[in-house]
Amino acid sequence: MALEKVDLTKVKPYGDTLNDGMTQVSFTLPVPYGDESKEAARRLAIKMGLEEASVVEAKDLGVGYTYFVVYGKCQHTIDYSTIQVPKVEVDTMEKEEVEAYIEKHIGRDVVILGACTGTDAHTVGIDAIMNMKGFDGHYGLERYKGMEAHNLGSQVPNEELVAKAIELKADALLVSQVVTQKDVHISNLTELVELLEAEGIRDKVVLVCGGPRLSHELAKELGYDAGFGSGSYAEDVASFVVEEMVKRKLG
Amino acid sequence: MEIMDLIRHKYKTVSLVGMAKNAGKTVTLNRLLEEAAEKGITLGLTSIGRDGEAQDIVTSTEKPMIYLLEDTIVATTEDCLLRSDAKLEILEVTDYPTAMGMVVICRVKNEGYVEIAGPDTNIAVKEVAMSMLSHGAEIVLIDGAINRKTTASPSITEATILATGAVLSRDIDKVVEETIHQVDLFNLKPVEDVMVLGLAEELLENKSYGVIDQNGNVKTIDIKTAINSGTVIGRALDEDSRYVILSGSLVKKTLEDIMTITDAYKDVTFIVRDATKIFIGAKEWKFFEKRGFEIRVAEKINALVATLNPYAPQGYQFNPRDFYKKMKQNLSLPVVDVMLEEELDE
Repeated sequence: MALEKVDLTKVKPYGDTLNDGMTQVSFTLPVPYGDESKEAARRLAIKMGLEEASVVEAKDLGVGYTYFVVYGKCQHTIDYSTIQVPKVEVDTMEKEEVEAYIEKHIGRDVVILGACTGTDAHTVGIDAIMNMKGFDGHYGLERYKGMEAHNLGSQVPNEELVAKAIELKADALLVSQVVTQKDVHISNLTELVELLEAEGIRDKVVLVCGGPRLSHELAKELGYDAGFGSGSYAEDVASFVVEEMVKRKLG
Repeated sequence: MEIMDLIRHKYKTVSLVGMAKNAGKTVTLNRLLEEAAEKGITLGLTSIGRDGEAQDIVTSTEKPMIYLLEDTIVATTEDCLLRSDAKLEILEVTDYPTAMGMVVICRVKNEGYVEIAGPDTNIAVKEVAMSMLSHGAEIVLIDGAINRKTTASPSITEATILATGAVLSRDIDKVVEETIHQVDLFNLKPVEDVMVLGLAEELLENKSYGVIDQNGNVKTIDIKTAINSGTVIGRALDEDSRYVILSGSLVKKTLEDIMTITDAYKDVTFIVRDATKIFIGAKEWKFFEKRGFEIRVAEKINALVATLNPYAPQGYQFNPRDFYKKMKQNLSLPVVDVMLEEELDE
């Protein structure tokens, strides 16, 4: 049996067969559990562009709210062949190579501060990059020779981070934003840039943001030197920081 | 009203800053491009964020494209160069890196759509602006990004335009209040006393902090930033203190800490370099004013005009006429609705 060829210019969800568009969505509506609410969920799914939508699960959340799981067929397609996502261009070095690079090109300890800023309390991202034990077999920056890594933890106000950066003469700031509501991470991230400019140290630090909702493209708009999405490891960030320091003559 | 008339022959570098994303910066920019074309002004153009991409990367809303005429000078990045449809002659490759490649200064040879992403840091922005002037631009426009405002600093650009709009809040009064606050900050007066201004400028130049007493004696405060140093600053004040010079930023907590230490701040004027150094919201600002704080700047920002966008991408809008009227009554600078000006003029 020959496999049907995927048309990359018209990609749609796969359920049981190619291009059947089968999609599952889940959401909560602020209405009491019942037949009316199920019908409301079904109609909403149709408005979302799902054909033959059917509510396969409805759960009473109490206080007049209901949770739904809906199946349906997505009508839309995406042209995968034209998609380009800018990524951080960095020749990732191994930990030992980064350490050698620091010794050779910078010749002193590199001071790096990491923090989850603003309201964000989810340190999983910054911990994976910074912590000694690292993540997924990749040691964190705290273990790097030639790096003085400080993890300031969660919900760090931008002002605190800036004050600490001045106190410790930081070379690089890593800011993590994992979970935020209503795009508050955007204004939180720009506020940090503005504060650094006001303190006159923006051009003296390598400024990096990271998190599942941050792309490298967005980083540019925010005023950061780089943005790392999910799937980045300590050595990616470390390589970028030390190479950028040399490029900008911050050594 | 022609915005270019406020700029031409007065200012060579102008920043365009927004109260928020989707406040209408790009629409304002296009308006300026149009006016410049009519008057035959050769513009230099760059952006600290991104411009000219068809879709916004934060809100996925459609963005106005940027169409540049022949001879316009533009500073953009290597990546954007490849995506632009205008023919560009490269004048200079700078050594300012960005997340999208090096900043490149070009002249438009054949008009067309251009994607723009310029330098990231204020210092680089200033250098690139100077370079565009030397390549023949009569006026250089620096477009902002999201809600970033530090390019409005007089040490970077000579004048600024503020874009504001319904996107800030569903409550029209809140939009007006926040915009008034920003305009008031931009219009903060410089210290009048020439001797004090001289002393202040000297301290600011050295990035240091200090107190000037009533006899004109300067006592430096040994801190590297005012952030978290409110108590130190408070302790440096006594009844003879008249001015405090703060080189970096001024945040809410610094003033709060000063208040817990001493009442002497009531006879003191705090001086920051310019309004972009102030990070205090509208409500807190009023509170500090009531408690007797006086804050001045060394350099005033030349805020030329506020542009309005009554539409919000969240799907609501204000009545353009009401919005325009409220802003006009409350703002101490000219106001233009860039979306519907002709209708409002009737």
